[in-house]
Amino acid sequence: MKMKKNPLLEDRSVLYKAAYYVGPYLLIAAFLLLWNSVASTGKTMLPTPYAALRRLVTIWMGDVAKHPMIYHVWISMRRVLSALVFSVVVGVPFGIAMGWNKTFRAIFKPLFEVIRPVPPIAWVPLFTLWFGTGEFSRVAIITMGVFMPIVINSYSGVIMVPEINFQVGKVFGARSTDMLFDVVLPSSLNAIFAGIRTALGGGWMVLLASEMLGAREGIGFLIMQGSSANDLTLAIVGMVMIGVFGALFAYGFDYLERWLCPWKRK
Amino acid sequence: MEKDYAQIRAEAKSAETKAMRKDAIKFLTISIVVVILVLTAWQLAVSLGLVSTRFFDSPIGVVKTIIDKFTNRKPDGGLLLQHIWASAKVVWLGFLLAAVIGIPLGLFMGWFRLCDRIIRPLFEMVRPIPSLAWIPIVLLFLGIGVKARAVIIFTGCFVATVLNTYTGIRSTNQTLINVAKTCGAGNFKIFWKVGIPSAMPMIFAGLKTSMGSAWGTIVAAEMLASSNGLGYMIQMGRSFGKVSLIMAGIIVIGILGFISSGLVSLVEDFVLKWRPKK
Repeated sequence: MKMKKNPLLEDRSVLYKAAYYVGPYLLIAAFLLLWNSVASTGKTMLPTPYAALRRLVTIWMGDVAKHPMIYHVWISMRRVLSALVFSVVVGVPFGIAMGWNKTFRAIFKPLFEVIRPVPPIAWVPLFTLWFGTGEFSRVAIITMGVFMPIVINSYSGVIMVPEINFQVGKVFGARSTDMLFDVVLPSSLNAIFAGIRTALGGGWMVLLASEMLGAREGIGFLIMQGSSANDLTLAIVGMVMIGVFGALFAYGFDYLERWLCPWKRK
Repeated sequence: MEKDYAQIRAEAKSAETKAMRKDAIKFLTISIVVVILVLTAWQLAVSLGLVSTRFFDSPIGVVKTIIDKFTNRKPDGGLLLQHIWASAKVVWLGFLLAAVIGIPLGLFMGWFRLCDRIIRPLFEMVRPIPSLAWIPIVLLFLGIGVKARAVIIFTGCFVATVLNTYTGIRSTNQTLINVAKTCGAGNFKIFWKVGIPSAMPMIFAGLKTSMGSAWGTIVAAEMLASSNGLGYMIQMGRSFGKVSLIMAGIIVIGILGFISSGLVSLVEDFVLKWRPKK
């Protein structure tokens, strides 16, 4: 059986090749061993990796805080998704308009620049004061965190369309609407997707914060619950869950982007 | 009366610049007018009682609260400067720690394939975990002191810094590398003299991003587990129902975040003196 030669490994010593193949697993194993040894001393409340895994398996379908784990995950995802959908539907056109129309930009950009440096979590007390502690204020807070990057990136995407694209459009006789849909949008799609990706990452953070601050379901709540009840295993399971689902979302979104922008496939 | 070609071009160009300047002034005035309108509307809405002061405070009220907070300990037991110092101290500590560890790591991972290959899986596992999720573990090992909060900020800034540094050094212009090779430079020398300087712009972009997220993280962390700092102050404003305190806190945080980014930009301009001004 012929094996394809890895071009990175030509002319390298045996030691190098060994490190190349084994190294990553060694590092992960070392990390797990470190975790395990710290946990096994029993002096801290840290659970061993195996204990955390076992706990995850038991609560996945079972009950924790009155609902199966999968329900908590679903609630958290639903919150992020609603905020995301709203932000994309409202934010992308908004950002494009800001980039396309100079008057629109003059009106709204200053307001944006004022609101932008404020971390989304700082809005939590204000929103809970205005809207109570229900689901709406939570999703609204996540929206604050997600809306900004989307609008800003859409705006940048439109601004950064190379002048030559506009000139080609004019040569082909494009009117204003044509210019917008056929020239600006495809060029800025790249930046728009980058904005959504950034927003995704930040969105999970804001979700976590808003859940930790006053929810009764959701992964953030579980982490807080585990922490305050000295049930660190639960907290760690929650952490891992957030990590896994955040990564899943990111990968899913990458696939979505590659599907929608076929010209980006290398 | 025959103008020659150069003269016509010069006149057209000056007309164009004049038009652009007129446009710029027009849009600037629109922006200023809008800002003034919004502030006035806000102030009037509160003064005329159109919105309950339970939910809103006027711009003047917020400014008054900020000034008052410099000397007034109520209701949360601390002065504004104390809160600012507590928050800013932790933010800069965590940020610098992330820079000191993250930049070299990103550089090595970006340049040396073996490094990348070994560290990458562990990094990808840690990467999606939001910094706030580390709070229980940090709480366990380090309590709620300054060190603990700095570590939480660190986890937030670290990933952004490493990613941007990695991207920066990976996008080094191949031509520059080739020139260095032609001059007989070894791999490490190229890394040091070509790779690192050309990665600097991206590194600073990453630093600015992580500075922004550092402020976000500190506010959340303080709301959850702290007894001083701006996030705590805002939370106290909520507990005591003082909207003015909440708004004042938000505005101060916004200003501080803005100043911090500005400081990073200053350092960037100083370090990257060789960059042509855009």
